[in-house]
Amino acid sequence: MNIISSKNISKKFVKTTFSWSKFWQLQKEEKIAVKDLNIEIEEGEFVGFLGPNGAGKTTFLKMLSGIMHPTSGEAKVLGFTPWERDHNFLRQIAIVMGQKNQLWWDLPAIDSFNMLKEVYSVPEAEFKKNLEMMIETLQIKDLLSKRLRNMSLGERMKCELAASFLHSPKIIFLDEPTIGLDVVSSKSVREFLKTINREKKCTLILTSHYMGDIEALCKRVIIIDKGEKMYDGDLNELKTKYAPEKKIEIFLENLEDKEKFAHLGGKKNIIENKGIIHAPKEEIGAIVKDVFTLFNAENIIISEADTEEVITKIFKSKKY
Amino acid sequence: MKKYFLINWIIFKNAYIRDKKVPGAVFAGVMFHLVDIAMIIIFFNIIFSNTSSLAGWNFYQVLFLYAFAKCIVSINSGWIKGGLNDFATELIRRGGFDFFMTKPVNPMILVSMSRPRLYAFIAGIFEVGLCFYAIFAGHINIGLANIFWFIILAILVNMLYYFLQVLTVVPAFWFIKLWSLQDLMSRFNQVMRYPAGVFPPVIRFILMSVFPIIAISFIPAQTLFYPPKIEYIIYIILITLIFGMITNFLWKLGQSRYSSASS
Repeated sequence: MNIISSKNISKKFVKTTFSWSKFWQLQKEEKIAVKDLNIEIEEGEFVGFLGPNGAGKTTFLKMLSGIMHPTSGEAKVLGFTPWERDHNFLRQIAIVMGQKNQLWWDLPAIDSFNMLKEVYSVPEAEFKKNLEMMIETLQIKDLLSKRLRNMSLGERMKCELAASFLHSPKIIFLDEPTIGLDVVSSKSVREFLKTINREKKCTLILTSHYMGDIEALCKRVIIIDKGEKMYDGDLNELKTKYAPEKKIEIFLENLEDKEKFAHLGGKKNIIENKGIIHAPKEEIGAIVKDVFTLFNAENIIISEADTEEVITKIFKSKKY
Repeated sequence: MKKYFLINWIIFKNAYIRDKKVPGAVFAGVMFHLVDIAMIIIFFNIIFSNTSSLAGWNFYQVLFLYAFAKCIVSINSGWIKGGLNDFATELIRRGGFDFFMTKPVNPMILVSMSRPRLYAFIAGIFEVGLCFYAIFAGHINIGLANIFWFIILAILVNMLYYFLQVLTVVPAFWFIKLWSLQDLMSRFNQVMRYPAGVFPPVIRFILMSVFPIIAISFIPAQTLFYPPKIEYIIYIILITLIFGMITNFLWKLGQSRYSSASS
């Protein structure tokens, strides 16, 4: 069942400027942020939005969450038109922005949580249950009494995430939630999002520049560029379509290994002591057979193409 | 309504937790208010040493008018001014308003009460004291009907003042970088301390109707000191309703134009 659907939704920003040379005429600069986007998302999906900076990902998210009105088009989220801001709709969604805080800067997190409880009219029992779950999953027991301004970025993001889930939203919009976080914090945020998606059956919409987030969390990706949808489908299919090759890495111990490497098939290159072969999937069997005949198994790694490389290739080539 | 009271209560409690960590800032805020009051009393003394009345109002009546106007300003300053200032200067420009838009409450009310200033309420206690001093020292006789209508009007003019304050920041939805907007009301506050009769007819008309800032202090005070006039009472009810509707309409219009800030 579709929980989110948008039909030809567009957003155009108009900036009015004045110049002395055209004193009587205001200049209008127009920028199309989102152009005729048609997207449908089912309940319980975890969808990743990908695109270069300024592609329109955040603008689209803001329209779906009711923050912004579109210039044209329609959208239904949970059966509501988001920008009409029906309170029954707003009670069922949450938005987390990696670059902005919704919690009070000078107060301990628990005080902000208590305020959100009233804002969302969360019953006491549900609030306690959700808070306990957040404390356990995000390991934030010690942070509850700590002021936001005294927290590290990672701690702050954990509290922001907890705050967004206290009212048991059905849809969560995540705009770069791991931005600036270290590896450990990013990992715990990802784990938490996975758990929420699995256990609470929440629908999560994620925008991130970190491919690690998208790979770890989203089965489905939507690529947007210049406000237009370029790809909508399975992440693995995207890799198969745009990187139909496998990568074989061989640790070359000596000159003799390098000579043997030169006789192998496929697209080859050597970086320091590592020989890399990009082989089409249909040829991989033959090449692997040769590789294992010539080299020690412990020196060989066979992998899929790196997602980040694939996406970079797609954005650079602009071939979708 | 109950929900808003509860939210407000928590915000106040949080503001108290915050402010008790910085008692110096609270003390300085109260002192600033008291010095301001002292300066105005000196100023009134100078005026009334040269004249016995201002547009028919004696020293104590004018002192009451000033203290009452100051009470309205303090209540609004303590309750909503911080939030609205923040809205005009930061929330729109930096996109912090996004979070207010995604909450199941009226963003105008939530923004307004988001940054209370407790010192303004403490200063307000002194201003209420000054009101009582003016009444008793001036031996002003006040009937029960006057008190009743004064209380009703005082509630209404507080709402009217709030609407005017919102109107001065609403253009931030369109102009984003209009920093001086929040100072506009502070300039207008200064005319609230004088009886309406001191202003030339055209200015009086504008300040009683187009931007009814003097009606806010003058009409309730007039109702307290003189026999209540039904036309004044109806007028305050009407303009509060009209300005309430205009404010709500413009806020919603602005909200639909809100373009947030880039991430």
